[in-house]
Amino acid sequence: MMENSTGPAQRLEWPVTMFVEALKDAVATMAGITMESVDESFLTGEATMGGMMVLQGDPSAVLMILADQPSVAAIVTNMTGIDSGELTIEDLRDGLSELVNMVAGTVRGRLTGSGNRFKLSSPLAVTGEHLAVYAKRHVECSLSRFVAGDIWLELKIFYI
Amino acid sequence: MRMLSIDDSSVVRKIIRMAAEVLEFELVEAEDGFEGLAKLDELGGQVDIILLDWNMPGMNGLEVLKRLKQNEKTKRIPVMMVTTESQKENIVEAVKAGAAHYMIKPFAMEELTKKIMECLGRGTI
Repeated sequence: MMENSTGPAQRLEWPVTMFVEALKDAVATMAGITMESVDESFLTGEATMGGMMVLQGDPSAVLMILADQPSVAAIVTNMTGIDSGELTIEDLRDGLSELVNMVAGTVRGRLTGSGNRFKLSSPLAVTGEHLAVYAKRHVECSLSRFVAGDIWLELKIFYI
Repeated sequence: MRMLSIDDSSVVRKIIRMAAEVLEFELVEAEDGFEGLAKLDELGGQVDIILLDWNMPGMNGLEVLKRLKQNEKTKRIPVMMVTTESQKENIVEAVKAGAAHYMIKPFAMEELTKKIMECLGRGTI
C-alpha cells in the first residue's frame, strides 16, 4: 500500500472519463483537432503504432493509445506545423509518447488533489503491423474510441 | 533574443522551434540536461530565456534548474519549466528552486508565446 502525507493512500478507482477528457483536451490543445467519442463497436483501422505508460498505484494500470501511422502523422503535423512527409518515424513515436505522457500527467495532477497518488513510468512507443495487445483473462480493460475525419485513436486502460 | 530549449522530446522541441520563429528568437536546442548545460557554457551563459523539461534521462529538469541557479553566469537567466508534472508540490518545488514560470503540457502555441514574453517581462506580443 502506498502512503502519502495525509495517511494511507486510497484504493484507486481509475476514472476512465478523466482519461478520455484528458486525451481529447491534449489533442485539441496541442493539435487543434476535436476528437469525437464513438461507440466501441465503431470500426477503426488496424493499429500500427502504440504509446504506453505504466501507472503504478493500487491497483496499477497500463495506459495505451493505439492508432495507425497516418492518424499519428496527422496529429503530429498539426502539433508541429511540419508536413507529414517530412516527419520521421522517430518523430511519430515521440509524438505519440508525448501524447500518452500528457494524458497520464493530467490525470495524475487531478487525482493527486483528492489524495489518490500513483507513479508514472517513462512513456514507451511500439510500432509494427497487425499490432494487438493481449492480456490474461482476469485482467480487465476499458476501451474508448475516438475519430476526427480519417483520424482515429483508441485509448485502452488495462487494470493489472 | 536567444532561447535555449532543453527537452528530450523532439516533437516538443519542434513546437518550441515554431514559437521561436513566431517571436523571431534565435533557438538553441538540447536533448538533455547535460547537453543543455554544455551548450550554455559554450555560449558563455549568453541566453535570454531557458525552456526546461522536468522528466529527462540522466539529469532531471529540477536538478538542471538548481545547477543553473548556483552558477554566477546563469543564475539570472529566467527559466520556464515546460512539463507534464502538474502536481502542486512540483510547481512549488520548481518555484522554490528559482523557476520564473511554469507551463503545463498540453498547451496551445499562443499560450506558450505569451508566457515566454511574460517570463521576459515584456507582457503579451
